[in-house]
Amino acid sequence: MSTTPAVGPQTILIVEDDEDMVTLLQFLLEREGYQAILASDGRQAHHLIDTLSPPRLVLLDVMLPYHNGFELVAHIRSKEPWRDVPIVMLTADSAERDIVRALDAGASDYVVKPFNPKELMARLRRFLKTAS
Amino acid sequence: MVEAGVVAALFAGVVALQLTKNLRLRRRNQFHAAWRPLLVQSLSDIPQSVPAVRSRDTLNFLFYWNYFHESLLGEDKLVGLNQLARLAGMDRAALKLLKANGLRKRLMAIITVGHLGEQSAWNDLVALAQSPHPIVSLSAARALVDINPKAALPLITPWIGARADWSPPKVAAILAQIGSALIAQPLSEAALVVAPDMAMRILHYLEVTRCTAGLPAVRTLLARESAETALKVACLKLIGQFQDPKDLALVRSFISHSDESVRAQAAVALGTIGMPADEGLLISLLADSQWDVRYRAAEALAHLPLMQHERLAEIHARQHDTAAKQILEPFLITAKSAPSK
Repeated sequence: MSTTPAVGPQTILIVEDDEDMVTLLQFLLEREGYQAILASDGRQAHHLIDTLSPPRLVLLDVMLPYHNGFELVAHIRSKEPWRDVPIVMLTADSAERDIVRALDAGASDYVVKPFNPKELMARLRRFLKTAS
Repeated sequence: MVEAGVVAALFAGVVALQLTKNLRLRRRNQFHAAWRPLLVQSLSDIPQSVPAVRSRDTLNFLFYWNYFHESLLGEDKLVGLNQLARLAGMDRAALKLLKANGLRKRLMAIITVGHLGEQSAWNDLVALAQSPHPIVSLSAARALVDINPKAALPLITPWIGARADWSPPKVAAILAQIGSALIAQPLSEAALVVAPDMAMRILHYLEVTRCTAGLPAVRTLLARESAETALKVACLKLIGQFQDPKDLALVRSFISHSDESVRAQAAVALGTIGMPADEGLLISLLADSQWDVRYRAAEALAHLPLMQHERLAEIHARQHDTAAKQILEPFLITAKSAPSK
């Protein structure tokens, strides 16, 4: 029987390849009492999705090495224990095509970079309240 | 023997270059690793003290600090990030670099003083904004807006009309940052007094910033007998896009203009603000000598309020002119498959 390592109830998965952005997001989340687990590319994220129990929320960049954000959304939505996890996508600009594609792929919401930290946290809280 | 020496010297040169590059990269990464937590922390706690920045790391600091500034929106970021830069002496360093010879250094300084809201850099920035270099001048204009948008606007308005080399999306972003309520009057007033090519550039910015408050000046420009054809077309385009019903009579008056591009643009505008009563005017253009005018008239006719496939088919059947019939046909097919209005 396979066992899936459990993550804490306040855990958020950040999938982002920009180290500075990761530090920033991690800081914003930890300040609000959440614990962040990090994946710096699509392959690492894929592995975490396959091996971990689902987190409270996934914060997912669009442009990633190996697997892009859209592929990861599809993978998450196809995987039973992760299927209902809220996914908030981070897009580099407000290109309508990217946003529509992200929402079509199954993302719950999106945030355009550069972002306002307060707005990002407000959007995340909306999903985190529902998830709890 | 000599060849072997040359190869060895080249090899040593390549290795030295690679080592220098690696060393520079390692130093930059170490610098980022040291400052990353401080920069992030400054977003919530205003720092009281910071480590000293060595002069060789000044550009590294400015680049990294500006990266954080540009990654975030909102007023909250400003206090802590700016305090951190001032504590590190980077405000003074940036002011000095405004006069540097290197383009990279000068640009970094311009962006920094803008983000810092450094009032003492104002006069230097005004001079830099008139530089022939498009990136330097545009960055300086943006920095002026960052420091004081109201005071910057009368300065940058004539430059916006005059500088054909400024990137339109970047100018539009600066204008959007100031806000359409503030830019409407100075921009539209400038459009009335500058040369036609400059006026057209200004009209374009009124269009992309959706600055509907600039419409009165656009109407004045359009009504001028002396206005160039291209300017009339630009005015009609803007009026059609802003869709103010008050402009209907003005647009109608250009349907029979002597220039075909004006007639075509008037037809386009009528397609967006026209009423069912404009059917006759547009039908009269279906037999125009110019294909583009006929096409725009047919398109506008199909888009008139309450226009249905049946009515369009009736209009089509009543046309005796072959060109008029032909130009309506694709719109007839589209209207047949479109849901009822």
